[in-house]
Amino acid sequence: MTQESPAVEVDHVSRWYGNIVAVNDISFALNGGITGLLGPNGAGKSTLLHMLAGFLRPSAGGVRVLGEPAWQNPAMYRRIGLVQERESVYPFLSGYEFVLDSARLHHIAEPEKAALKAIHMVELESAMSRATGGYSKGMKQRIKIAAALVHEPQVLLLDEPFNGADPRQRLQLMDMLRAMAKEGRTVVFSSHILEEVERLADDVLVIVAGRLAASGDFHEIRKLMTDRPHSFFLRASDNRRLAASLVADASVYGVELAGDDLRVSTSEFASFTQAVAGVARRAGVSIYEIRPTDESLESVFSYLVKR
Amino acid sequence: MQPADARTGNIYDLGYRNYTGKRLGRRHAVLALYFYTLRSAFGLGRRTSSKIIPIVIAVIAFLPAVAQLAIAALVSDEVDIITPEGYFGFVEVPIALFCAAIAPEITGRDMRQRTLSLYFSRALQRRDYALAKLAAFATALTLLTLMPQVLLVFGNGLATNDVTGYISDNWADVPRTFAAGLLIAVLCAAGSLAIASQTPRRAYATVGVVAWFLISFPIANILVFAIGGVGRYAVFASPFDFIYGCTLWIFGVGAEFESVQEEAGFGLWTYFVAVLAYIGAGAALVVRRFARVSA
Amino acid sequence: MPVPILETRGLVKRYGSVTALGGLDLSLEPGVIGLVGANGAGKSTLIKILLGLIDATAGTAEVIGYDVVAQGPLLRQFVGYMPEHDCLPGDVSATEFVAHMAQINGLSRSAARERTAETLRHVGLFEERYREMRGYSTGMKQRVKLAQALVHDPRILFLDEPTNGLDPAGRDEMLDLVRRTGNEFGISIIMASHLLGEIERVCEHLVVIDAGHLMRSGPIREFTATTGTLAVEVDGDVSALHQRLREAGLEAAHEGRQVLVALDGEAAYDIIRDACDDLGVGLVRIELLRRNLEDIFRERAGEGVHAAS
Repeated sequence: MTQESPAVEVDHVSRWYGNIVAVNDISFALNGGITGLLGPNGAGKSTLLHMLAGFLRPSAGGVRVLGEPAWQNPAMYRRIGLVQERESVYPFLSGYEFVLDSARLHHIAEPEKAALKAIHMVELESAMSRATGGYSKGMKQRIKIAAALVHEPQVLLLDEPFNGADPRQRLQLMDMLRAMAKEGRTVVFSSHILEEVERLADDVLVIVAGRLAASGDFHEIRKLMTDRPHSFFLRASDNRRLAASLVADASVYGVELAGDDLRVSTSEFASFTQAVAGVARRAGVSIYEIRPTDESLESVFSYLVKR
Repeated sequence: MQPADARTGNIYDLGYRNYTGKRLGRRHAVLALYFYTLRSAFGLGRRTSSKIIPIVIAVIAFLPAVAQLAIAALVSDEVDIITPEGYFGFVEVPIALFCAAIAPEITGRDMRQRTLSLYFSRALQRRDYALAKLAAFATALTLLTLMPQVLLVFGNGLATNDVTGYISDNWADVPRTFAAGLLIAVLCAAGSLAIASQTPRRAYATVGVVAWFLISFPIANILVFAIGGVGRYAVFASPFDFIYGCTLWIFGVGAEFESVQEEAGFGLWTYFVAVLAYIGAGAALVVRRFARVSA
Repeated sequence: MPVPILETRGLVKRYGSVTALGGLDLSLEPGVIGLVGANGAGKSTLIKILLGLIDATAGTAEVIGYDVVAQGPLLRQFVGYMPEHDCLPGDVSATEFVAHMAQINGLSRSAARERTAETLRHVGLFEERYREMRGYSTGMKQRVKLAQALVHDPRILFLDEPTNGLDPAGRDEMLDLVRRTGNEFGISIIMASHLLGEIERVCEHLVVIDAGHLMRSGPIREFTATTGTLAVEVDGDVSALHQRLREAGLEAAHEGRQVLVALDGEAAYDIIRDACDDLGVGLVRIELLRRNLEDIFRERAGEGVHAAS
């Protein structure tokens, strides 16, 4: 395996449909781990995933997967798995047949064994001989994942994989993706549910109107948003006294006392967190609770989208 | 206008208001669905393209009446080219077209767009829904069967410069015309909705309705004329034939020479019974379908 | 005790040999209620029975005091329903459609017109309301779906996956609308969702259905009660802090960017504070860990029901 080149490499890729630009000059590289692909509806996420999978030709630029071009490279299909968002199962096939067909398409040595293994992975053994037409949304989603996994691809791409999954299935799917990432595979998934992305993804790619708005660890992205103050919620043994002491600190630029709550705004995350324990200590105040209120992926995302 | 010195300022609450008015319940819901369906049968409240087909067909239905009135205006006297029962014979064709084009929309649209679950979770029962749809479509068809005739009566009356005189001269035809127009409309509505409601797919529904009207027609005629005997009963499978038979019976006119009704040889009253039976069966099928369809 | 907004007794629904609901007993007070369950657990079946879309095999159900079968049409004047699936005709405008549904809900023509204008404004649909709905975005469609459920000012509203297909901004707005509908408009809401974060944000009460039976029912805060563990997150040397806290006699564990400390008396707070100050690490978070709604689903099926805390 050519581990020198990134697992996924996107180089100035654009894709347009007539005058509509779905993806606009995007570049990034991914290496192993789980990457969350975020963006508003219609931002170009699905288009990008299809290009990564080699199902769609970039209008400009190039996509390389595992060091080889993704487009018009049939050998590549054996190393990539794509789970599409649409419900694209054949209702008359049983779950097992569906996955088995996928295994045969990939020319796997022992397709039956591989199909059973993939079905076991998504825990659908009990329903595998039933026609997929009668499956629930969550089951269809899982059988599609099994079909996409059957050849144990090095790169797994999933478009909204959690759609229609119930809480338990979500947990299972998350565990499964984590396990795959641990084996050194590259997992890219799109989702609108930011809490999930936050918990699952090591890195994020944020696409807004076809352009790459941010990439990387979202905590690091948050630190780059210097024009957006950080705010903290505090509860202490004496809120008023702590507030007075904090106002005196240079890193603090706003303090708000409301009932039992103390809210502090700061433009310098590092200086404030460094200072707060000492300030409280010198004021003789115990800190019962402190938490940042604007550090979630949700706040990062809304900042990027509205920018 | 407020006096200048009475300076006041007000901020009005635009927040959510609870509805305290009357809730008119199931009957109102049924009526609302009836009128909405009736409007949509002619594409009202929808895009222009939805209006084209119903309007073109309506124009076809009115054509003979308008033509006759034009001639009457030219010769400025009463012209009786078309008899009322003859008009029904003609209007069957645009009615069939209207059924084929619109019936699938009347029932299929809500199934296709999955609006049924909204209706059935309201103060409306499944049976109410089915009957409201049926009544609305029958009303739409009644407009097509009767309005040209109403136009004809008034037009002819005007041409003779004596509307009341004309109407009283032709008084016997008025209840007959209404009865026939109504029966034809209700029958075609019940029959075509019974077929169209079985599928959400417009194409299938249209084919089904067309088959009921048009394919049965030549087959029945062949069976009656060429085979006879038991084959004569085929006349009851062809809507065009038994509707016309029923119309003839209502107007007290005998079957025409060499017509399929004459060849079949049944008493004309049997066609009336057939129409009633079809209406009952069709309505039952529509109600049954919506009692079972999943929403 | 207030009158229950919803009450079922021994509700059973069988499809052939499959039992979707196996004798469900449920009693809920007015409020915003989250309904959670695995796919196929009987959630949709329950909602459909309550809406009168299907009949129960056995048992009874009452919504706002009316029997769902015997008093169905009467009851459903006061019920709103926003289905999960698409249900909007593409070739009419939102105004036309919502006004029609308002009439189906028993409002007079003029009342329907007024309430439609007002409700569409409330859900945030403005100029688009006169256009055909086929061109609407997912977010706009969801708003219309909510509007048609609200237009007659129901006393109880059933929402099935109201944020389905929405992007983060759209979800935010929809959840906000749902919360306001429950709190400001005084309408009870039963919201089915797979997203526990959403339920936690919007609902006051949670009902968990599993395999056709009631698994849990209780106020959200019961499910998210604090534990006796403090999470301490720092910007800096986490292991140094961990070691320092242990030396100070606290029971502590290192986990990622955090140190988890068993809270054993008030003194722990000051020990943590001073340790951060001495070590010069940035103090980002001290927070009592809460139990997670997800914990309900952590256990495998079959391990089944466990008592409410």
